[in-house]
Amino acid sequence: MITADHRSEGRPGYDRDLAALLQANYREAARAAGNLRVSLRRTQTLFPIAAQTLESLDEEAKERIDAFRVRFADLQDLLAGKLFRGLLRLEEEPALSQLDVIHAMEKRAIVPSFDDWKQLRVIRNAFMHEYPEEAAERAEALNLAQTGAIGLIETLARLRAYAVGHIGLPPDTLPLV
Amino acid sequence: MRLEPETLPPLVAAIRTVFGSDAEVWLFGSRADDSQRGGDIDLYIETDIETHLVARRAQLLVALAGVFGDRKVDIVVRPRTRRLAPIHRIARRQGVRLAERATPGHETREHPTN
Repeated sequence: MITADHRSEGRPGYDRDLAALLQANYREAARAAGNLRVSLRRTQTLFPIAAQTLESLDEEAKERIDAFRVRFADLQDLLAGKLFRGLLRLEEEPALSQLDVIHAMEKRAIVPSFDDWKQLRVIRNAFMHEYPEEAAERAEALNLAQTGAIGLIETLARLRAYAVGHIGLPPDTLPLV
Repeated sequence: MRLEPETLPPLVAAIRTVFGSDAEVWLFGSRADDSQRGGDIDLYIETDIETHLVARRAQLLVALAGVFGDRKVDIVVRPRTRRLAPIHRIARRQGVRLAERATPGHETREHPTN
């Protein structure tokens, strides 16, 4: 593959190893986003889901819901755990805490707002089980997650646009989501 | 109990904004134990509110990030109409009550301004 430093007359304005790491993590997230999109389609007829319905789903529908939950959590983990920090490292901006990271993403308009992002995290924890929850709360969390899933995919798309537009990563190294 | 005293008023205010002025709150887990150090902030809340509990919990955690920063806060909520689960009983038994229920007959509606 032709890398950025072969194309232009000078060196790229970023660390190539850090960029390669971000690109690899991005591709993993793009796959997770693709899987999440499939899950959104396959659960479309179940939403919005009522607590009572949730308790009486057949095995096949439960599997579809479980796949959706795991894929939602996967994409969120990749964004929060790898991509946000990877992007900041590439910009040589040290972020000390997870709160710093989210604020930095808000500043770059990659996450719409700090509060929105934090809420997605709580929703995820509610359906990935911190404590045994009542069916009403599991259903509420799933319904919120259905809307939130679109938000996660859009966040990844905005991160891509930022990496291309502001850092100068070659667009062909970051597949569209 | 190991919470900085200045965090209590904003903590209780945020809980009552989200879960009603009748909400009661206990601090339990390692923060309720003076002999331990550090640890998550575990809160147990009893409320008369029964709907949108996940969204409310999210709203409260966002507000509490402004009080406790990066420290991890865990919230267990029980609407009073629901039976006491083991975690609720443990929280009540070993926890420290931070805010009692408003006195009966007291105005229970939230004020529109904070």
